[in-house]
Amino acid sequence: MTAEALYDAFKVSLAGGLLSLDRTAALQTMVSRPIVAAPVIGYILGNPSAGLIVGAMLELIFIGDAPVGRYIPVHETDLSVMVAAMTITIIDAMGLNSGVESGRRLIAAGVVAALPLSLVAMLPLSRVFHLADTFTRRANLRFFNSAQGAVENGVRISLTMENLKGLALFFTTNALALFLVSAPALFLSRLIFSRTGLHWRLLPAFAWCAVLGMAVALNAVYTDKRGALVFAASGIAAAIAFAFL
Amino acid sequence: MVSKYTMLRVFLGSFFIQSAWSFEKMQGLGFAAAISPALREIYGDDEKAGNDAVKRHLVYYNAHPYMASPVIGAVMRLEEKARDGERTPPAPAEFKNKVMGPYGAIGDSFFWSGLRPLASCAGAAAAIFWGIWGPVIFLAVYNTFHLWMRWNGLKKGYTLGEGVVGYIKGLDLPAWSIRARYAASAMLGLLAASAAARIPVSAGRVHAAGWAVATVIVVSGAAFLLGIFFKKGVSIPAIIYAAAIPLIVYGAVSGF
Repeated sequence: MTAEALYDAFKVSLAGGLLSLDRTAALQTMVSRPIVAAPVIGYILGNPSAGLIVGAMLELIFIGDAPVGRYIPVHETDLSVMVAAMTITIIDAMGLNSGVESGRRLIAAGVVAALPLSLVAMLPLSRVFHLADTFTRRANLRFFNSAQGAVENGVRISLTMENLKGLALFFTTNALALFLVSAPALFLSRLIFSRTGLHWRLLPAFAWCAVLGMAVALNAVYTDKRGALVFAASGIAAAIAFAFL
Repeated sequence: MVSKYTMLRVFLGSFFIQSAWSFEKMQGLGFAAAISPALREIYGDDEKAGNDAVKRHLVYYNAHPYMASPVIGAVMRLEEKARDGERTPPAPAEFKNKVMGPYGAIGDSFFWSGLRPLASCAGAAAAIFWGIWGPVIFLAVYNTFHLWMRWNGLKKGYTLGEGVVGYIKGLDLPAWSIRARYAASAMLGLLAASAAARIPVSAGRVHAAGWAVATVIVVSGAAFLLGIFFKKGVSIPAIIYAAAIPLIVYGAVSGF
């Protein structure tokens, strides 16, 4: 069990570290957003469908979580990587990923049981990811100073290489933080949930997370009453279409 | 004129403008690293002038990462003019400092507050209908505009020089941000109705439609309440804990 948890933690940390680069250090193509990062982790751990449900829900919950005033936003990439990994580990531990009943309904039962638990467990630990990020952003000044010193003294250096040292540091600190959190989290998830069968009893908690996700997203996107009206009109039009088409 | 190969190197470098992001200098090193291939070509054998140009750009810089592309392009053009004596040597850096603030605000408003929520809602809605294609649609919607701004912005900046300011103004991105948010609201309505209509308890079309309408009403009410909480400084994690923990405890205890 320990070796399996450590191997999963290693894969999750490596993939999560690479995905996190897109958040600040490179590209910004949004592969670091939960809706992409969580299914990737799901694929790596053998359950992309569960990863997709986790990703879609976290995408909505953190759609508008921006650094406003003194508020520091949650590290949504590392959090979604960890929530997806823990959700899938719990599903496996509960035995909800295989057997004669396996299929859509069983995956749904697994996600309903595991997602709220994983989210509540991982949110406080996301502070670790924030600390790693802050450390990197402080340490990066060293690369700037070293480049500036060389240029001031007329020494010909590759600015690209100096710049990419920051990228390497972002990867290292993120991957390390993910490993520090994921190794014990995945081990304990296997240990605790192999004897538990919560399944559909957590449906109210799951439904709350889903409604919260949509409500947070709506709150983040509408600028005035017209936005809320557009939401309601579109939803009711869709409902009418479901009834008659 | 800067060669196509150098243009491509600068374009690729623009994707790494935040690689060495620091609290004090922000994108300063990334900007200098991205533009350095062009500076080397512009100043050629004149090593001193080239080194002075690098020095001018190895300073604090902060803007939206995609909106750096039109600035880099314009600065390349201005550096050419400075080399030819049509502008003073400090002119390119002065231009850069003048536009980084407004471009940062425009980029934040359009890309972070408009386009990304729209792409997120489209991706999440698509995930309900087409599963794993949801993330692909999210990336396609977002990156069509993102990559267009990176490449077209760089090219327009280089072609127009300081005139790129008028070009960016003409795009009217703040107005498009508001339109994108309305589109995101509509997409979210579709998402809420679709998610509700697909839950396992729905039996028959009319029943599913009823669930869809109920969900739209519940989400609207919850969004209104959240607005009040957010204004009072309550964070998203606090709201998650407040309701999810009691529900998890209820779920765990109810089985015994």
